[in-house]
Amino acid sequence: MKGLILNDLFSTKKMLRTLVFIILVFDVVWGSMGQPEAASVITSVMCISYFLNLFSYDEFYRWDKYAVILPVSRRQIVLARYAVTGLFSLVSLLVSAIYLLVMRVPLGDIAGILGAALLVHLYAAGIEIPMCYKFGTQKSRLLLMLMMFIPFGLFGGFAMLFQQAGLSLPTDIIPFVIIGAAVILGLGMWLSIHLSVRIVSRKEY
Amino acid sequence: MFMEENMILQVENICKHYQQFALNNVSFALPKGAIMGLIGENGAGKSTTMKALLGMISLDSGKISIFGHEGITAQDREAIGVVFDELAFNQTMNVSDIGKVMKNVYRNWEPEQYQQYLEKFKLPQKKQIKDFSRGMKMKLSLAVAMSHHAKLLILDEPTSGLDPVVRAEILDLFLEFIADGESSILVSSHITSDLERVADYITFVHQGKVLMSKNKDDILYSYGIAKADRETIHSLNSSLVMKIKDGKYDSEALIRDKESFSKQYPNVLVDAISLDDLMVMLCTD
Repeated sequence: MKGLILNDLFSTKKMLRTLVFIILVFDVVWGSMGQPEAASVITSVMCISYFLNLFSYDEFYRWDKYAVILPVSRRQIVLARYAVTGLFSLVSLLVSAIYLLVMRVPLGDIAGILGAALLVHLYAAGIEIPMCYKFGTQKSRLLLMLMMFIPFGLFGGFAMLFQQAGLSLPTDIIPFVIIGAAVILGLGMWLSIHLSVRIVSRKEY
Repeated sequence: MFMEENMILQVENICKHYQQFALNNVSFALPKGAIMGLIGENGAGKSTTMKALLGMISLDSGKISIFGHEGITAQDREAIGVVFDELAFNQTMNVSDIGKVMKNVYRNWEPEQYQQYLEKFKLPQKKQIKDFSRGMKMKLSLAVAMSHHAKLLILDEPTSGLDPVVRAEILDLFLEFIADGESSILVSSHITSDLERVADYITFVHQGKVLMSKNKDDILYSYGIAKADRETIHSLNSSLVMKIKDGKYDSEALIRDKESFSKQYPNVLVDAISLDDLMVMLCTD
């Protein structure tokens, strides 16, 4: 599995340099405008959507076809992809944390931003990876937009309704909402891995 | 059906049906220390057969035995080197990156051997693969396939698009690879002259079926093409004739036993056959 992870990292090393440059530009621009939180959100979104490039490379160079003839199981192929995606997520969170600390954003806000980013990462990867295996990258990119829109649309819609009705979410249940969301996303991730392994195991190349 | 202990690969009656195409009862056996050429026109089923061998597709029926047992395990894959017609690595990588990846994929990876092949093939260490010529990419694929103590090489069109000099180098490498008498190569190619040079066996696939799987020398020495006027050709003993092709002025017949034929028809000219001739005769209506 280590070889597969290394392959993904070597495959993206050139693009990663470009990504780092873009993130730096965003950080400087948004930071100078006094909105480091926005830069951090963009960093997070860019990093998590980066795993889609790995699937594009797989399809373009036919690495997916080659990987199945190597002495690794199809389960390992899938787990390696989740591991690399997790690594991207972790690095982006770390970079965001350092950036927000340097920009002297309050610790409570940093925790909130990073927690939200982590939830978004889990949701995006959990939904998107099996879709990439099943439908390919092109279709999955469009589906990702749709899948991202649904929960955030619903969340925004409810928030607006609450606001219009003059209601507010009791603050004492917020930790339970976060924990509940984390549990659901954790289970979702387990289901996502299980589904991806199933799709790849049955796939013919 | 086969002398199992001498065989590195045995394929028995494999079938795979698609909407537009089917592999039908494909059978052949590859002995240890031999090179088998898989030939046939485009879409004949060569690549599908190779995919079946490598477990890339599931079979509807039939049996594949590699290294003396049915099916293919992860351990078997350690001892199989595969080359597809295109290099599968991201082309922003260099040969050094690929070496690091493969070292962590194959337990038997030999960095020194890989390095020797890179030097032998004059492949630069730091240059991105995208800047390699097709010949260099193919050499790199072969270097990877042969640097982990493979016992069986499965090669899909490894010499297509390469100039004769590079092809000759690669063919020499094949001969070196099987020299231990234990290792074998299954290679598909449209360049049948390459196979005439190095293959011991030829398996001819046409429309998803194996038309013949024989010793190459037997094919080249026993088969021939008889040329005469249409009337003479059509009057020949059908047990000796595999196929007749009528031209505008005369006809040709594919003969399965040149020697018997010449005894029976001393006045009919029989030309030696090449694998190309054989393919053209058997694949055209």
